[in-house]
Amino acid sequence: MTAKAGVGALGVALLAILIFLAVSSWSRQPAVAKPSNQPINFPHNVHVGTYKIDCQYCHSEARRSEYAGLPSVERCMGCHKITGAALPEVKKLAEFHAKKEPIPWVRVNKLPEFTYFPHKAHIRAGLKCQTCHGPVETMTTYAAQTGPRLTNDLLNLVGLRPAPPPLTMGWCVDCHRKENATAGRHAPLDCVTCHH
Amino acid sequence: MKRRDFFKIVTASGAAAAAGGCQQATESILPLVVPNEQIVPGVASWFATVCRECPAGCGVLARNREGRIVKLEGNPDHPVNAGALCLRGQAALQGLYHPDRIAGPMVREGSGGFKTATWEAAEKLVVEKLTALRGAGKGRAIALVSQLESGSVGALLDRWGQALGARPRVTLEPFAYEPIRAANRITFNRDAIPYYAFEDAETILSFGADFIETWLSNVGYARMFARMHSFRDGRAGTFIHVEPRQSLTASNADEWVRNVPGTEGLLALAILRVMVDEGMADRRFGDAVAGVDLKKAAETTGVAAETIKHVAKAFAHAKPGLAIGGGVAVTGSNATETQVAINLLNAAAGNVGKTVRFGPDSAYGKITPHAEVAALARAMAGGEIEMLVLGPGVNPAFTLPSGLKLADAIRKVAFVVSFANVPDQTSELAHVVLPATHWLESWGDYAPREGVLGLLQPTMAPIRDSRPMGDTLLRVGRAALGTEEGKGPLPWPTVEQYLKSAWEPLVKGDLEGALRRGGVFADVATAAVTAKIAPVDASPAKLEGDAAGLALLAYPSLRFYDGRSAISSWLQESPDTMTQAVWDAWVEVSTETAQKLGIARGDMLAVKSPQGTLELPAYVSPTLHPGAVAIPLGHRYTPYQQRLQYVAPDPRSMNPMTILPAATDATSGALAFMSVKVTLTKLGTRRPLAVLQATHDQDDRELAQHVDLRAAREQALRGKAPHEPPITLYADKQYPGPRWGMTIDVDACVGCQACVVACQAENNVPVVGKASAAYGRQLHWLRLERWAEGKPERPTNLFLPMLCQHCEVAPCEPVCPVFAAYRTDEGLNGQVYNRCVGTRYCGNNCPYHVRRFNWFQYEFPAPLEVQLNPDVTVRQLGVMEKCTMCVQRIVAGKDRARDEKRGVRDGDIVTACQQTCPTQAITFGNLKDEGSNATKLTHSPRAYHVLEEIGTRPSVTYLRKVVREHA
Amino acid sequence: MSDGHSTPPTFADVNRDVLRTLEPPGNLYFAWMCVVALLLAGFFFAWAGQVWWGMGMAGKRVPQMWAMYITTFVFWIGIGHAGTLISAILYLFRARWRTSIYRAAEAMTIFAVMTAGLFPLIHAGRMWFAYFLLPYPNQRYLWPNFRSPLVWDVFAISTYLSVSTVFFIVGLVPDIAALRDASTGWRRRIYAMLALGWEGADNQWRHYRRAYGLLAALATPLVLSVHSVVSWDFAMALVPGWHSTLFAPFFVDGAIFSGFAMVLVLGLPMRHFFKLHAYIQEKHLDAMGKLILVTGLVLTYFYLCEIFTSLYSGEHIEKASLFWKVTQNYAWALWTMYFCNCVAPLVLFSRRARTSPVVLYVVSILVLIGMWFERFNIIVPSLGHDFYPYTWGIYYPSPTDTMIVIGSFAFFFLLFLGFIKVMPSLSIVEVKETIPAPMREKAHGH
Repeated sequence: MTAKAGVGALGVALLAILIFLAVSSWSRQPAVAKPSNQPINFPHNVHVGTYKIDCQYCHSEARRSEYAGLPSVERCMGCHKITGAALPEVKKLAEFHAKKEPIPWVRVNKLPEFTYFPHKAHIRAGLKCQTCHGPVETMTTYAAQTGPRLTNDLLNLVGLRPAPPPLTMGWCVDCHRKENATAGRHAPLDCVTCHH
Repeated sequence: MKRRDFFKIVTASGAAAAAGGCQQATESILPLVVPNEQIVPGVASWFATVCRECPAGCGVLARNREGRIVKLEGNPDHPVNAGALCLRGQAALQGLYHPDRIAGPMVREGSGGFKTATWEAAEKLVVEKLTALRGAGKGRAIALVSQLESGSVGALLDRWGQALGARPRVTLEPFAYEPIRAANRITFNRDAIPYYAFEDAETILSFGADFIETWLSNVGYARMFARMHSFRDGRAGTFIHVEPRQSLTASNADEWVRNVPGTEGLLALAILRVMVDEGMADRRFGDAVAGVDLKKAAETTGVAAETIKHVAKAFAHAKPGLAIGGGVAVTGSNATETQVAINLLNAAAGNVGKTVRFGPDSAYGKITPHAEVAALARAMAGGEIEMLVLGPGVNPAFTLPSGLKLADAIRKVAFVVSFANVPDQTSELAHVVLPATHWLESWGDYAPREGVLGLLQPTMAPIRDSRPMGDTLLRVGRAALGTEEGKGPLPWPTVEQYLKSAWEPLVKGDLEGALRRGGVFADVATAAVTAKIAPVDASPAKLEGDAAGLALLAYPSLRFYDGRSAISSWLQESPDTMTQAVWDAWVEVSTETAQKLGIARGDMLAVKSPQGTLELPAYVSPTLHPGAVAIPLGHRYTPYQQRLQYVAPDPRSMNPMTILPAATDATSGALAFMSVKVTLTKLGTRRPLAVLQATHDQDDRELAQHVDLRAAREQALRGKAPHEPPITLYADKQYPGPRWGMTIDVDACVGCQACVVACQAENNVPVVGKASAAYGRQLHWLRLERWAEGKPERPTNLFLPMLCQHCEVAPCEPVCPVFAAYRTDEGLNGQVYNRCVGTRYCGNNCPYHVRRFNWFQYEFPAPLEVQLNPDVTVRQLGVMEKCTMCVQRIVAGKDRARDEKRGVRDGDIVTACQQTCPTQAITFGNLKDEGSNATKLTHSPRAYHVLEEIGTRPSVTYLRKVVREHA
Repeated sequence: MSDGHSTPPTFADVNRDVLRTLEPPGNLYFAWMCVVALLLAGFFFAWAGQVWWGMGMAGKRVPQMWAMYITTFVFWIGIGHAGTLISAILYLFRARWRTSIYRAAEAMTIFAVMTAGLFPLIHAGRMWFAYFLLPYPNQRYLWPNFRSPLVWDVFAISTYLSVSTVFFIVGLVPDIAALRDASTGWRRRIYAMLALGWEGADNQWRHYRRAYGLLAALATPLVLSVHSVVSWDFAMALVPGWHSTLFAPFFVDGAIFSGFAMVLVLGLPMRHFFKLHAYIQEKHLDAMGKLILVTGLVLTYFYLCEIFTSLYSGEHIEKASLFWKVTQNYAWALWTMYFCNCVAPLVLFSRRARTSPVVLYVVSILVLIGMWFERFNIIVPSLGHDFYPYTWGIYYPSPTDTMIVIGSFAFFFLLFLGFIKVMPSLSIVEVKETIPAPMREKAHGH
């Protein structure tokens, strides 16, 4: 009987822990868009994989700005006036260009407002885009799997050290620590570097 | 492509990036249709233009992020302000993004309110009216009123008027300093306001000239004042100020002489008399002061004869000195005589040509004399005017004495066109409103003084459907004249083309360069003048109203100027330095009067003049002359501020103009602000003021410290005593990289509040409203304290900018349970908003109480949220925040250095408060770099830490104020 | 049995009297519960409003970033002391008079600590992130700051709550068994579960006694530690009036002082309504009175020390703070406190006062008021006049503050009133120990 009570108590305790972990991971969940409903079905794998176009040819802001930037419609048309002009998706693009309207891309990667992430510094440090954004060259539609996960929290809780999911804080910190330890860099670990 | 088009496009993408606020599940990001060279999303680009918040015409750099302006800074190349900016300039952004910005053209419906219209329709009405009047040969019935436009824009407006045969344009500036012009006509035979070389003066003798607040060019002269006055810059010139009320300027004086209101002229003559008698001035000046008797003068002015004597000595012995006059007390019926007397002082002391320089004359000299304004008012009242065109920035119904009955006169005008872009008391009377673009969205130029022409260029696309006044006038003008583009008197399609053609001879082909520099600047030779010596009428100013009453000093306010800046909630909440009051107007009453009538702070008083009655809460001041009451001008709330759910302003008027008669200065015809005596009656009700500072008494805690000039000089020679290391059991924190620190020179600080507003603009600090501010919930990261020492009726005021001290042993850090407050590796005291739980323990434990808490979720009503700095988090309710020493600028500075493959150099990183400070009282730098200015200053003998005895070891070092012996 | 002084109650009496307390309650009881429920509704309403609109709903400001919430928090923690003190320490000292009151006192302890536990949450600006204070491995590699007294609080209070709860439950087991045997139907089933199969066999008694002794020993140091830790929230800070090494003993003593007052405030009505005069006898009241008197005198001594040190320090700011407290805006609160905590208890020097329920009741109420104001005086006035004159200011409680503070009392009484109707508020077992075992023939009176 006593044992039963003990088990009960333990159960309650665990439940409590679970609940607040769930809450915590949920409350830290950064917004991630569904990549499906892009205005134009843009295949990264073709551009990066097949044609080996450098990421920064289109995302040209990355090396000089906080944002990686999106190619202007004109830049897209630079190639697509001729290349694949017949393709239905490219026709959509041509329409936007004709109407002089920007393409309303659906945002995929978005860090919380309280996080400052400059692409520039990371490009300067010679990081490959894939390190953070995954194997883009193989993606037909670009998507990001990110955000804290409950499973991850639980593994942490029982003392295991799972690799933090991409684009979460622990993941950034891991990389910065590793680079400082191995490559002898000075990647900042100060909170206010990213949170100000 | 044209920059204007590209702005239109880039604006779209700006919207996505510039948003603060909460996270959305999905959002779309819009790329540019066409790439452009000028703007990289995420990287700020800067555009030079000219501040038009007042006629001082300071140069401005506008920081553009994603097509929207997020911050204004002074233009370092501009000769007037050299990088500094006052609080009004900083707050201009709130005018740009004002929620009440008029959305588009409006036409009055019969007697009722406005209804929106298309530009075509609205302009058509104007054209019809114009053609009708011209057809009837009544061109003279057209009147054009604009603010001071000293450059080509003014020329264009005049040309428009001539083309349509209208009356000569009236430039309306309530503070025109006509007496100075008139006096210069009399003494020097020159109708101009000269350049006063503060920087070269050893002694400045000011008769009411509030040059730190509004007089002529508050940033420019504050800068120069620091040069001649601040101990740091080697010279310790003397500044003597004569005024019945201790204004901010007076409180910066080494000696403040409190005189009977309106007797400045007599005092000046008495000083001249002493100079002549004691052989400190040429005998020729004797006949100018023949009628002046020192003893009688002492009685009338209420200034002791000894004081007059030693002031005279101090002034005469200065090589050179400088006497200036202005401010409300010198706008009485005898203003011109007073200014003449001051001219004679300068002439007698041989300052003319040295510190009083004709040649680089001020633009104020071009303001239409008040006599003509009055004439226009009469004409309107008499029904002679059938069409009135009001440019942006003019609000005569508010800024002119009700004695002129201007509002009524305007109501008599059949057709009133207003170009206001924010509704005000005058645009309410208009029949057609054609919102002009804000000056940050416009082309233009402005010459604050001869030889300095600042160029205005659009720094962003118009945020509302507004058009440049010039474009509209050109269009309707051509339509009325029946000419088309390229022909006739008004050939230019837009004001942009007009200006570019007008600038061509000046910029000599390098327009881009001129725009980048912000203008065309040249030195103007000083013109030689000779002084005409003639007797001066020394009688004090005549005051209307009850002879037993108190002289009303309705003084221009540092924060709101004539009221045009009062639309900014930043300014409403940045305290008036002397009273530390926010959000409300008050009537300043001397202690003597208060005791007589049993008045306490916050009691409602009825201020009665022959013109009417004004009801305001009382502020009891020990320094005000017993014979006077003072009310700041320009206080008004806009509809938007009344909409803010946490602001409950009093709807009744706070404008002393409503009780001023239309009195003028006899000689110059200038508007006389000090022209009436008022009587006070206690209403029995209360309207407590929101006063931020609990007390001006330091209670011997030596927060703001001062040192005697002689002692300071000795110490400076001896150098600083070796600073013994603090005794501690713990190992000192090691800083691998730089260690940031700041020094603040209390001696240089003039208390102008510019830093406070700059900080608010840079760091997305919200306003909290009157009630919260009164209850100690204001969110300013940087506050400017006034500490009064010595006799309460003539105290020595010390101004102490107080911000997070970034203590090396910070009391806030160990108590934070979650490391939201922690020590960074660069000596900052970091505050991580997203980690903060809001226990507020740190706030309690901070001895300086500089930590601020988000009591509510504060609002940034659209479109104000566009102004938010994208590099700074917008804080959520329930978190602590405080000064970060502009960590975003530190990050940016280090980034720039790394781009150039070098370490951070001194001056790479400039905090917002430091950047805007007119007197450069604030210095930020790396304390580990012995060469940095900040480090050098920390070694100064005047260096000290606030509350040093607690052992917090702050990274912010203050330098003691240097007080002169005879202060 | 209106008068239990002539003949001591028999075992049967005990069972009957105690079980009588569990009979369906009367209207008065329900009236009480309604009031309590109403106040509690207000409490949650106010709290919800504060979470929704922000901490500004409460009257906090600069410089009083802490005010009535922390005051009340410390107050309840203090109340939470007497229980364990009576049940654990007095048990170890074999103070027999404790038996009749310790059950109620323990219940009071637990409910008080539970009430107190709400306040850190209510107080936090972003209570939904309060879990940041818990040390658990997370993927951000972030830990709480173990240097912060607030984190110590988290440990101290949770430990105290869990230990005293276990202690309480263990103590209850035999009595619940008694209830089980006395009751029927679903009640019986529930009690059976809670009784953990107690039969009163000798070996069970043996284990029970050992466990109880051990837990008592375990709980004893906590009585002292908890409030010491709470006191360090202030002592560790810089604020003049907080920064004092005196605080730990000062707070502990104050806690016991207020704790006993609360025991009386709860015990005397129970004694009256449940007619427990036979068990809660004058000697008990007398003992309690003495304890309050002693702790009160000690507290007075601490007050004197506090004043002396700040005067003797020669610290300008320290002294300014003291003089302001004594003479300025909050003087009324300070003098209320001095009267309630130092003067009022002095009547207990007379035995007649110590044995008169009315006098005791009045004194206890005063003591409770005084002790609440003690915490108020430590927090609000000290902050109101600390280092920096610019920000000196006066705190005005808002409706939210008031509703939440009053509501916390409702929360406490709800729990307690509920308890006395479902559990024996008197320890049947231990009371029986104190009276002579039943004899075959009729027992003679003494």
